[in-house]
Amino acid sequence: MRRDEILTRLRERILAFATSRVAKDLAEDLTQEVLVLLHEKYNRVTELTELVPLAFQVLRFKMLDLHRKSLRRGEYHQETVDELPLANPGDDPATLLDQKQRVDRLLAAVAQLGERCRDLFALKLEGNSFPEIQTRMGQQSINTIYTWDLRCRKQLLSLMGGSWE
Amino acid sequence: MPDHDLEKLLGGFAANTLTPEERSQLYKAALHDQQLFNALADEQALKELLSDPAVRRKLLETLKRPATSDAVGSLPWWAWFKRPAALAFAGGLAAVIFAITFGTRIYEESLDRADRPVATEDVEQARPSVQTPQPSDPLRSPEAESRFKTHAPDEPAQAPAKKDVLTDKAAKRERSSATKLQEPRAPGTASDNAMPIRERDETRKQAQAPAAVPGRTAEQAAASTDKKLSPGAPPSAAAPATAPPQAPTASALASRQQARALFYGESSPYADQKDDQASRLGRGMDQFAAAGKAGAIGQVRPLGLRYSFVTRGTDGQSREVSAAIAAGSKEPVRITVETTQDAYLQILQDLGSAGTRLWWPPQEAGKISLKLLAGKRSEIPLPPPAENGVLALTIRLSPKPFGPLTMQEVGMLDRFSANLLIESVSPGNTSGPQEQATYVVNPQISPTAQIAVDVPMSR
Repeated sequence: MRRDEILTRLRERILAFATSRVAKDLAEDLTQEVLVLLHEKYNRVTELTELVPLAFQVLRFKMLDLHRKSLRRGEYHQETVDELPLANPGDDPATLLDQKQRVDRLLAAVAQLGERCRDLFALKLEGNSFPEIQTRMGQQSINTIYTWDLRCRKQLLSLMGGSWE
Repeated sequence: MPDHDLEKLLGGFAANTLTPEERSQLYKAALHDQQLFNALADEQALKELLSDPAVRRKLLETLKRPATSDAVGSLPWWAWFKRPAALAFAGGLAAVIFAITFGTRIYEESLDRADRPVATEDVEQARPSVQTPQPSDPLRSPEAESRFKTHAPDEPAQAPAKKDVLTDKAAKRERSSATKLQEPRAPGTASDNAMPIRERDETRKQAQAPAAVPGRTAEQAAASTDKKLSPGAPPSAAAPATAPPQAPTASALASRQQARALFYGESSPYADQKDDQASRLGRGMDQFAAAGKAGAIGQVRPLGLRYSFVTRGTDGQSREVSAAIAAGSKEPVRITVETTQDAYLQILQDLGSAGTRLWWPPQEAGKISLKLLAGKRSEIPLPPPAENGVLALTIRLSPKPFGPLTMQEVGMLDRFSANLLIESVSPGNTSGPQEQATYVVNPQISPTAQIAVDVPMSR
């Protein structure tokens, strides 16, 4: 699949995804910004297996950025500009706190998993692929591992409250 | 892997452990499947977390802790309810509790309902065998007498008649179950122990008016009308043929006379005068005992109420007066109540269109019902009449304290007054103590037995 073709598909998917999360005009702007970045800054990335995850990463950053901008502009909480602190170029305390809370929730959720899910998740975190996990867990079919992983992932997501955020 | 199973690779995407083939397959599919693309985009948040080595290390430490007991132990108590087995257990337990609670109540109500037809049928069945014909009765009609002469001496002739009665009873039971007590019963039936309220009010009015049966006591009238019920003839056919349409029926008079005897028990001298009714009642009660309801009847008195109107005469002494006199009295009138058991009393006043209000105990008492001691008379002032000039009271009596009265309960008060025995005693119709009172007895020997009786009077 050629790069232009991949970008065209990506544009459709990103726009649909962004439209489901933000207003349509904002979604179009967001999609445009992601594609401009992929086109200009990552022009050398052409492989599907690299371009698609890169697009996901850029899309997430852009959406977080949009969220922060809306917060800063007072779209959620109307505050005067004078009372707002100066912007810090690094991660702000709110973002750090948010990340720490997410990690804590993930740790608490993982601790509640069953034995098999814990083993499976540990093997994944150690960097084992599914075929390797199949061997380590002594299963005949890799589909069993896929199914176990899907169930464990759903259980973990449920324990996290339905969202990874 | 088929395209619809690619969702299973999402876990590998977040942990970044997919093989190159899996990765290529997943991303290609994501470009064509919006749902998978959205799932991958959402999974990016977890991927971001897991890409942090510090977070990975913490997670691995958590996962390599030996057992989940610590984690389970640190869970809050309500987390127990999140487990499916616990949820099923809690749900089952709740269902059992509901079933026991409502099942018991429904069973008690069905027992209450089942008591009524059993009592009436048993009394009816016992009556023809004990009633002896009295040829000196002046009111017996020639047809009834001839029927009696024809059927009374020979027993085989009674058998088909009894069968007819039983058939009638079966048919009546079917009718009554179909109409559920809404249909007024035919007056004059010997089995009509539970009189409708309207009929009871009419008979009570007639008993209160001394000129209703001139020259004859109520007992004589009862005896004469009882005698009209020849053993062989169906009761429903015999009574209307001999009695005038508005005259009190045999069962009505018998019920009225039973009420006072029941109220005072067997030791009452007045009750001794009426051993016919008392013995009949005893048999009826024995059949209650046979039905396993109350055990030894002689040891347990049924719930009974005696009420009368009292006013102060010109000599300053209190005397009992009829409802009609009480209604027209300019002196303050009080109502006296007495019960056979320690019971809780409530007096409700019907305000017509304005509904029903609790008159006694008064609001200042802060109680819904007032406890009366057995055999002790209490005087209660009468309320002012409603706007329409009618003073209609309902006296409720229960061995247990009443709860708050709802509009639905007000509409269901008839349920507690369906099977009551009511006897009005006036100085003209008794040779015993001179009294002007009404006796109301619930013949059911049951801890849930209640009395709800209407006391209408115009002022």
